[in-house]
Amino acid sequence: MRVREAEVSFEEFVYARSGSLLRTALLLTGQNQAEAEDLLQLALERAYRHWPRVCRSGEPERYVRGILANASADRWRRLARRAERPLSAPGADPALPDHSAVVADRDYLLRALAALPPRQRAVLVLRYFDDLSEAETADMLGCSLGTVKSQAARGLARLRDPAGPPEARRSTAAPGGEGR
Amino acid sequence: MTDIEDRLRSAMHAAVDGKEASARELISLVKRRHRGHTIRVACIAVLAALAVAVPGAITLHDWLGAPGPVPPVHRPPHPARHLPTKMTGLPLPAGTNFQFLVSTGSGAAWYSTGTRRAEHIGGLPRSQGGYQFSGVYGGWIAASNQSTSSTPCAVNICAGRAKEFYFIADGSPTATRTGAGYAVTASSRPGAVWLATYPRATATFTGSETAQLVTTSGRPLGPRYHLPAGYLVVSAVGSYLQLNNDQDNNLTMLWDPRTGRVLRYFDNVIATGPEQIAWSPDCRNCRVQILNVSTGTTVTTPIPGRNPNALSATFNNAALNAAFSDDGRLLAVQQPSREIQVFDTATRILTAIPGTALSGADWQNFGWQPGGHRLVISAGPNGTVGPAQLAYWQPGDAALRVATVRNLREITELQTGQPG
Repeated sequence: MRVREAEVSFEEFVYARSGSLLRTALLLTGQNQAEAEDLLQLALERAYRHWPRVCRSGEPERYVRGILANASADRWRRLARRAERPLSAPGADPALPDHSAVVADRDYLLRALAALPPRQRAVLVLRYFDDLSEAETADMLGCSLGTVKSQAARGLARLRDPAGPPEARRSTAAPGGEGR
Repeated sequence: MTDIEDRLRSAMHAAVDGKEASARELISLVKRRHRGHTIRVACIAVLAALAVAVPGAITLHDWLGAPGPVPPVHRPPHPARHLPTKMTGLPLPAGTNFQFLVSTGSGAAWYSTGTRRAEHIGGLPRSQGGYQFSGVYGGWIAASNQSTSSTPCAVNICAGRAKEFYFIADGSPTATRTGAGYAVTASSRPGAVWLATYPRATATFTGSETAQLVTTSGRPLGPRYHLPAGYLVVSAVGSYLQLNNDQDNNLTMLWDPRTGRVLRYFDNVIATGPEQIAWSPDCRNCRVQILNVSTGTTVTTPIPGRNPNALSATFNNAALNAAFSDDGRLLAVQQPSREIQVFDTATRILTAIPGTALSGADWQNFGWQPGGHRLVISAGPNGTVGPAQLAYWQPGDAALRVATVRNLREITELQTGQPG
């Protein structure tokens, strides 16, 4: 469902669409709840600044999703300088219970998705989670149709690769901040 | 539609379907953020106006023939990292009260963050320099900070004269005397502690310590055991004693006092629970491990261990600080990034607590509330008496609950006290 009413208030919009937007934000941030909430607040705040104009566009949700997708790439570029979260390939951690093949496959795909470059991840999330067409995805990300096609193909190829992208196999994090 | 597209779509939906946001909270946070943005924009506009107006005024001043001294321009060094200097989260609910066990000038007190008052703890003799505390089952052991002088051997190696130890039950206004000795450490049994002693004037690195299980009021509960020479009792894990080598604190053994046998040696123990011992092995790509001595099972956590090639503990991802909840189920760890993470030994899930990562220039303390699963965190700037923060988190919380503390006394108590 898309909220298309031109007169919808900001509050009504958030009540109606915050759950769906949070789910997209979660996937864009590699399922980091705190980062997803922060990203969603950032996107909504930017929309709130120009809410009458956003409403007049007739598609406030499309506008907010566009900010989410584009801001996630910027944020990940910035966050790349911070300590990374420990991430291991499935089966590397003997503490983890022996999941079924489906669960293990989903776990692998989500980890590999989280390790993709942010722009590729945004393309895959918009295409396969939000079910946008290639043209809609290109419009939302402000890039060409060809870029969306190539980014989606590269992203899927990396997910298909059983060895996974190098980031997904990394088991130790980069040096963090100074201790006390 | 290809197989990978279907699998990806199904994985994404399985991961996030059902996740909901609290719209009311979100609206309030977005509007608050917007107010911050408006203020920033206004400040930038004022600064921009000043940047144009001030040089103009100076030029006019010079032109009028009265040049003044040019003040030196102080530019603060550009920070190398961009970690936040404050914890972030939702506001602390009104009426939240935490008790901190604090050392006063000559005694100890319970400081309440709700009333901002300290309640004196009776039953402790006056001690110049106050008391220091160590956590035990159901409360705290207090030992005088006063130095024991006139020891017949060198200060650093001699066990010295016996110190007096007192037990303060969680929240209790009175302390009871436990006994005199070299150290008192936690046992896994309610109402009991291990009292360690040395014969007079013994060097700790060659002498044999003795340890006896006593009640918190000092009544013996078992025989007095002689420990292996050169080892000190640090805590009890189940029916075993955790002993550290006096010369190498990273060398730890679990020792059975009834048989005198060593169960196992450990490198870099980071925390112990009633029946758990967590350690960070010194090897490439190792993870923190947790042994439960009652079940005999070892769990490998996703927490990175120490990297032997790192320049120092600060420059690898080993847990710097760690603490088990009273029931031993949850292990809270802090890594050099200062982010606090909680590992649940039952579900084996590691959760990073959002909003806890801080810059290296800040102090940050954390501890579990006695008998519960609420992690109390305090933090503040190092080197200056600035506003501190008090926060808590418990499993299931999506965000930290944070309050700013501006009361100078409370800042000191948060920095030095123990949540009790």
